[in-house]
Amino acid sequence: MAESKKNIYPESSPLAIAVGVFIGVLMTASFSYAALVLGFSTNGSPVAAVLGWGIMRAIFKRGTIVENNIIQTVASGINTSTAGVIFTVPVLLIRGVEFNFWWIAAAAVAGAILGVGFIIPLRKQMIDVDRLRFPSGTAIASVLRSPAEGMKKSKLLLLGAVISASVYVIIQFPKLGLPQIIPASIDFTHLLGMPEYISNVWAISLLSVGIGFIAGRNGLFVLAGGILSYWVIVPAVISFGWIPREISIENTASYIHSTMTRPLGIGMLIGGSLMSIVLIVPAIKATIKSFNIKSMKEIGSDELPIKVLYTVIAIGFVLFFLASYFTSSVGIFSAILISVVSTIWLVFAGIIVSQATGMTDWTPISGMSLIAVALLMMFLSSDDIVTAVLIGAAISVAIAECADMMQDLKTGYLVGSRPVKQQTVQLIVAGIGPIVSLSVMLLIWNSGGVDPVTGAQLPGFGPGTNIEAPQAVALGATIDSVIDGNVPTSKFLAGGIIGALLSFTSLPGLGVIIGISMYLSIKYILPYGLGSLLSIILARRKGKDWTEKWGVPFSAGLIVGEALLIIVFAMLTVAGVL
Amino acid sequence: MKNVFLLVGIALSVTAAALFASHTPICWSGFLFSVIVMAVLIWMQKKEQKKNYTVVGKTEYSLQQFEENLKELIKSINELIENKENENYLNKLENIIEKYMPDIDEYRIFLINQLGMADYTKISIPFSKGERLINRSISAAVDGYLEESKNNILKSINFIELTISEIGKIRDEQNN
Repeated sequence: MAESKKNIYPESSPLAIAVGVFIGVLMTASFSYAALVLGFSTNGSPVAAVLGWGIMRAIFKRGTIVENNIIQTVASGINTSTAGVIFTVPVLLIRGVEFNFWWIAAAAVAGAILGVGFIIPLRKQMIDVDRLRFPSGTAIASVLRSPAEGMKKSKLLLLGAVISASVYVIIQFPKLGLPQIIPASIDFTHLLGMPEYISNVWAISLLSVGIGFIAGRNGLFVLAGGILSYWVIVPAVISFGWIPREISIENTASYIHSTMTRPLGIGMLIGGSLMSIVLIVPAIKATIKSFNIKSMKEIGSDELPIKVLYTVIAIGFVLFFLASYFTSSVGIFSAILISVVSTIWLVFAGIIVSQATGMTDWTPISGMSLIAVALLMMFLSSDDIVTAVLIGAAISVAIAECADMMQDLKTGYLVGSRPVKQQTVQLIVAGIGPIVSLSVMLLIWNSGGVDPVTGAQLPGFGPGTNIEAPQAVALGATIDSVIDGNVPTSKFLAGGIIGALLSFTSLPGLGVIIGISMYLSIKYILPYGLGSLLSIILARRKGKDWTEKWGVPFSAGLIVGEALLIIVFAMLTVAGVL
Repeated sequence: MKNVFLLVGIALSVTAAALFASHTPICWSGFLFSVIVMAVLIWMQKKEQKKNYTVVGKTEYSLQQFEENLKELIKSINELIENKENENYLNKLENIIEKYMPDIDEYRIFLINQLGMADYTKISIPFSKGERLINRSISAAVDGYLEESKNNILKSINFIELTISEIGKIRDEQNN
């Protein structure tokens, strides 16, 4: 034991916040580009935790566990809005719709503030009462506490990181001009002689295995949902002849996924979450009462005061209203109505996504943003695409912030951070991310140049360019289906009923878990399920304590190693090296 | 065994409901039939679960066992603090936590069955705050801030005591 230090235990120090902002901005810029190219964004918290630790120790020769937790809270609070912006706003540029950059930015910043403001009061419910696992949050805590875990655990964490980073690099060999040794995914459909429409593709992702391991038993239900969707419903639908004749055999599975299982899964996710909220009303009442327990008050509260939250929410709401009023062609009362309805949906969606993240580690932002835009377009006149996308972006950013805040608070719980410190810094920095993301998006769009003949702006991304922006294209397809009146509302309703009923089973949140697994790609569900199976088998053979003690640090290493390399490759791509 | 059959039944009814819902347009009669079967099976499974997770007396995962662990935890922490030596402080603290800190994630379902959600919440909130302060105490000790560590461990005792007091109140209410 080192000699005892007597000064105040540093937590949200200016240096920690500055390092967090630096890492957050860096990650947001590279993730925004990567999300435009690849169509997905990734959780930046594990990387921020490792980078923060490295910067603090190597450059500044200082840094406590709780200080490093503030760094990852700040960095991920900035970076988490990437998906919300990049999955929505680019559709306006691709479609050539004119919009005011600053009002879109204002709406996204308002969404970030509202998301953090609304989710903070639910910390006690989700973390103290429901004890949601938040696998990535648990893994990050393991990383942050690695010095305390002893040499053996630290080595195990490092070993996991080295293995998963090495595997990721080997997968990327073709990008480095080297021969392919390990493919990005293995298609067992053909290897096992299974029919073309039964997708049995495994992504080689040790990150997914690690997350599944930490998720434990919940991961098995994710696997069950994936099997139901891809290996039961798809073959059954085909054998019953429910596919239109014009759909070719190779497009059958994707047709069933987009028109049947995906909307059903989204419906289950929403129905399951809403019913979970109804079922925990007694617990929420008891939680609210706990704010008033005299002895708790006397000992002191570590939460951000409710008056501060009211103020923040009011500021966010006014900003949101102004952005929708000045963007849309509607009157003041309609703008207020739109803002109120959107804010209510934002709160529900935030809770739904936070629960899903807490149970499975998957954050279904793209699905929720698609629903938000579809719903808004039904409320608004269908040609008011700018307002729908503006509000969709705000809602997407908000729900991403909700999930990230709750995950960071879980990490904070495990390392003993004061929630009020994390809540304050996230509220302060949440608005930075959308501005960075939007700026990067505009920069890339303008890099398309100008047509020398017509003088028109050439697209910097979208169909026909090197940067396809797949999520924005998917949003465009949703907008088209709303305009054509093809929203699968009956499928959402049926899924909602199943999800709500499943919430009554002995596993709270089962509707959410099955719903999310029907909605996700099977190639990530399978390795995730493998991780979960390994965790259950090891817990049975070696005991739960052994699995927690040795399995969690190793899995945390698997998550960090791959996540770190994803960022490195994204940055190399941005720099034009790859 | 009955529970396994019920779970299989629920899985099959979910599959059937999802299949009927996959048809375009939805086959509502088949869907509603599957959903009703699912609801009945879920209700039966809930009853079965209540039977399986109800503990009587001082057995593993009982409220009594939980309370006793907390009392032992407080006693051991007080001994650690009174013994003012800093030698091996972190190891001693971690050993105490490993030995006496009840894993509430394991207890959770039993306590909810025994007490109901509202009363379980009354216990879990002060307990969780105490646990978080213990976690902070360990982090501070690792970073070499022993005073901070000891202050937090003392604060955590207040919340563990509050948890025990809430358990007492709930027991009194149940007895009345």
